[in-house]
Amino acid sequence: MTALLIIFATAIFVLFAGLTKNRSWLQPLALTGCGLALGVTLFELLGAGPGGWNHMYADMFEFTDYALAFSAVALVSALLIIGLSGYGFRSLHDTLGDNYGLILFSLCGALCMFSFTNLTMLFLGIEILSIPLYVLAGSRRNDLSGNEAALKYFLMGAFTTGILLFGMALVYGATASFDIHSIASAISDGRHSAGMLHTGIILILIGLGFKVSAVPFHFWAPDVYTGSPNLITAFMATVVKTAGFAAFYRLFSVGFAPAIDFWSIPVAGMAALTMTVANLTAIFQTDFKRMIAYSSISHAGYLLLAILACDVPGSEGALLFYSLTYSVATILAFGAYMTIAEPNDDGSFEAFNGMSKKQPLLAAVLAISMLSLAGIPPTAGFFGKYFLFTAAFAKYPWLIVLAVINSAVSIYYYFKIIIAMYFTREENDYAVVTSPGIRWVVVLGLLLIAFLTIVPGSVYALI
Amino acid sequence: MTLYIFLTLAIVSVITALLMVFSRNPVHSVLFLILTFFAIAGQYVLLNAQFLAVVHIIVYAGAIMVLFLFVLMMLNLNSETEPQKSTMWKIMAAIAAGSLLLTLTGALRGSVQLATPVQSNPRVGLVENLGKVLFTDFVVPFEIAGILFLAAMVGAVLVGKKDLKL
Repeated sequence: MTALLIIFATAIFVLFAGLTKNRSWLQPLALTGCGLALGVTLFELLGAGPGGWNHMYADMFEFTDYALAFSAVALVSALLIIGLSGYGFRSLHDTLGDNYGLILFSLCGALCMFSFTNLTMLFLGIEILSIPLYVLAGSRRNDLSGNEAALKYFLMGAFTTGILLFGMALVYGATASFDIHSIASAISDGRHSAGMLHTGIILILIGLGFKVSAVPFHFWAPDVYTGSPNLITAFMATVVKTAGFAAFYRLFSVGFAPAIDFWSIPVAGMAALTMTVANLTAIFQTDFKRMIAYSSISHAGYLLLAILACDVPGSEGALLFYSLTYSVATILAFGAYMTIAEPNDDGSFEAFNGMSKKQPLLAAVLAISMLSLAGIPPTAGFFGKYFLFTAAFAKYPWLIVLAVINSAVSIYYYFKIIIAMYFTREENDYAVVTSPGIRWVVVLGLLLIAFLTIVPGSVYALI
Repeated sequence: MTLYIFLTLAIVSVITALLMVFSRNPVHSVLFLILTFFAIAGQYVLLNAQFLAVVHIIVYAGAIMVLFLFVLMMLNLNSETEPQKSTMWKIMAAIAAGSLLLTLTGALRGSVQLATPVQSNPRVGLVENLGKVLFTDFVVPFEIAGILFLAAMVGAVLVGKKDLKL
């Protein structure tokens, strides 16, 4: 809650600071707010505990270690993304403050989604997360694909919000409660109407499946990811996905846990479809951002395994570790991508040709993040996949076999970038333009990945 | 008596909703939609939610419908400009929506009726009680909704603003 208040206050400050002529201190202001919130969250997580907030509004919020740890992941991602923004937001002028403000508002929504105990809070969180993003996706107003992305995201998002709300209403009708603990006890006591509850759960599954872009509700993702500004795409692929999965896991592992026999079948089907379809489609992409879009869909498939294994101890830690490694690797990849694609206006794989000679550090960072996303040992991504797959193996061996095959397929398209950077003879004369902000983010991200690689257990065992 | 009122309102709302979808003229569609909203507001009154019924009429049938009509007039839409979808699309959409309807009715038909909690207080749907709940049990969501509206307002202003080089 303290983090939420800090982020909200920072958003207001940034909005007003955006009105002044001097916009150079907007980014430091946003960074300070996020850093402060991260510090408070880590302090509460590692030592002090959430304090008085927990008892004051216990029927709405519950600041468990789970909520605090995921808040920390979202704040780290936001910190790195805002760190990159000095570069990615160069083309914005007097709307810069509004853009930072909206990113921070969106982060407030994510923080609500980690700690909810009441479906009202979940719904509000999802809306606060999404509505600023509809605007941010189209923040380059003269860009046609940006407008298409914003409109597509908005229309599809509004439609699935309706489905999600209908599902929540049916669950309320079946169990007479919005509180996830009461819902769970109503289900396990048999004080509910089964047909209504099951319809409600399926509709909520559709709504959340859309937010985390799981197949078959993924159709919006490639177009929206490609059309949005790079930084916003990075935000959607990391913070939104982390928030979506944390809320998904919390709702299904607490609220709907007694009905696991019912919902595990469609979720398993979704996971299998998501992994296979996304990886097979990603092979044929020639554009980096589109490839990352399909890669993020495929990671949603792996993350669904954690939800399937929600009654296995350790699945929470696996979800946390995977979200963190995936987010950091994706942000690093975007940082390196922006330096080559934005100045030259070319996002294809060929743009990376010979990058290892022009910018050895950035090329190495991009290579490490690709290896981590593919899950090659000994990178952090390998441990993420290892924790997830072992958690789900006992219950769904066939799904894990499928997941391992899919990870092998994914190596193919992740390596396309590495081959272009290191082993391609024909070179282009593209300039690589960096900035101090990018270098800082890259170094911080690398340190974080190194930390996760060396002591993976420290994060895994947090919750 | 209540059953007859319910049935009348339900039939009216379904028929007007269908007429709204099928009418060629967009202005007629909007007018039928207003009728649908009134029928639904009647259902709210039957459920002892008077405040919700009034807000529903003021916000939806009032404000949002006026917005719809403004947009229709500004774009000058009429039956000639309506885009013609191919028959293929129409059949596919009908099959998709029809199977959703079948699944939902099939799933909900078998559901048991729970013992409805008897409302001891007949004034439960009035503003006074709603306000009490909103400022006691639901005070956190009420405040958080403020963030949502602020974010939506900033977003709306940003959409309409030109990015000037200062």
